Amino acid sequence: VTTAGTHPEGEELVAFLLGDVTDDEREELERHLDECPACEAILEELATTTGELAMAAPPVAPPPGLRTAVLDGIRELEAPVAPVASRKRTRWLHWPRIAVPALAAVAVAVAIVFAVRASEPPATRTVALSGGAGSVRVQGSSATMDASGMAPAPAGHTYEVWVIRNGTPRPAGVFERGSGSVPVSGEVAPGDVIAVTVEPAGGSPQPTSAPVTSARL
Amino acid sequence: MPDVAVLFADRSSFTAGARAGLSEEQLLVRAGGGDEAAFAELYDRLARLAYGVALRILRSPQLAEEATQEAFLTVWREADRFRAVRGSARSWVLMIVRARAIDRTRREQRRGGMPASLDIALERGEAEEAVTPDIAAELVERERVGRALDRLDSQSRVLIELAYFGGLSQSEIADQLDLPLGTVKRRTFETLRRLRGLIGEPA
Repeated sequence: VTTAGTHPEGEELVAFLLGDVTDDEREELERHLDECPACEAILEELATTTGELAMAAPPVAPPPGLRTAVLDGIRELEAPVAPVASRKRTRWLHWPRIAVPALAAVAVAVAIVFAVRASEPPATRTVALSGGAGSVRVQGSSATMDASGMAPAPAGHTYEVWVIRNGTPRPAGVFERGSGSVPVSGEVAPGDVIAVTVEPAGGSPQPTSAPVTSARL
Repeated sequence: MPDVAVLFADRSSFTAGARAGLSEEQLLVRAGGGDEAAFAELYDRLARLAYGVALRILRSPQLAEEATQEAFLTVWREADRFRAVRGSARSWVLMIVRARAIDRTRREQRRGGMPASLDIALERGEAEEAVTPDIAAELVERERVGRALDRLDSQSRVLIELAYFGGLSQSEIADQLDLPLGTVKRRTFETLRRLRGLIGEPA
């Protein structure tokens, strides 16, 4: 499929449509499809059929909170962006659990922002981690975590701390055992979310699993 | 202390009355240009279908809700890449929903939370809702697809359902059904083409 002259097999187009291709294969196919109306026409026809297949699933009304979560979610993103940038940020979309309760959390965050402003200089405050995992101590723009409620990380894995701001997670350190004081590297600000995920030993540049605990500062 | 409700006061911009007459394709194109009300209208029209697909794939209301949310955020973000010539807005959105749901399946499987197996629901579920004219049209469409699936031989049907709703890769399907990979690929392709004809046939 390296040149526009070599047409992919129908089977390859199906795999492309079902997402059953590697990134390299997908890019090659997309390059070909951009230049080959014939293959694109075949793909369209297959896509119409798979689209109709979706109709075999019975429609079900989603939970009412979902509409609000989605519409608030798009406001946190900016308006639709260029493909390159969107691909970079797609990871975040795979990891949405924290965004869901955002509506309630915003109210809390607003309250905290004003509480902090009202009581300058900033005193130390403590925020509980979800699920009884422990707590985060915040002083000014630095934070430490006490995660003594968490079991040691599974063999071959490590806990990784993330600071999430404006929907983007930033790595903020790894630990195996939560007892004692785990520093959260970098600055934190009110409204940030601290989250912990289980990652392969050594940690990951981006979260690869859902958070096991989190707290909004 | 500000009134928190002020933060959400401009929610009225989501009222979609003026967009009601637009097609799903027009709504999607407008969403691609940043029109939130068009996006909200599109959500209202497709959310039940989208959630139904996610639920069928994930079989967990919570996971299905998360996948549907991710999918609609992707729709918003990628809407400017939609090309009406490549199919309907509905197919496009549902393909994204399926992709997100299958990502989820795979992650849950890696975490050991969900077994990768053949026990996908092959039966056609029932929607438990009052039948409005919109829903009636949908039911007719669904009936057509269901009838087409019923006319496939059982192996083809299992193949297509596993590929579409099961979240298994073609090599996993080949393993599970103990068929050569080439056979699975060819049958899946042939079955899709055949379905196209069957769905198009008058009842």
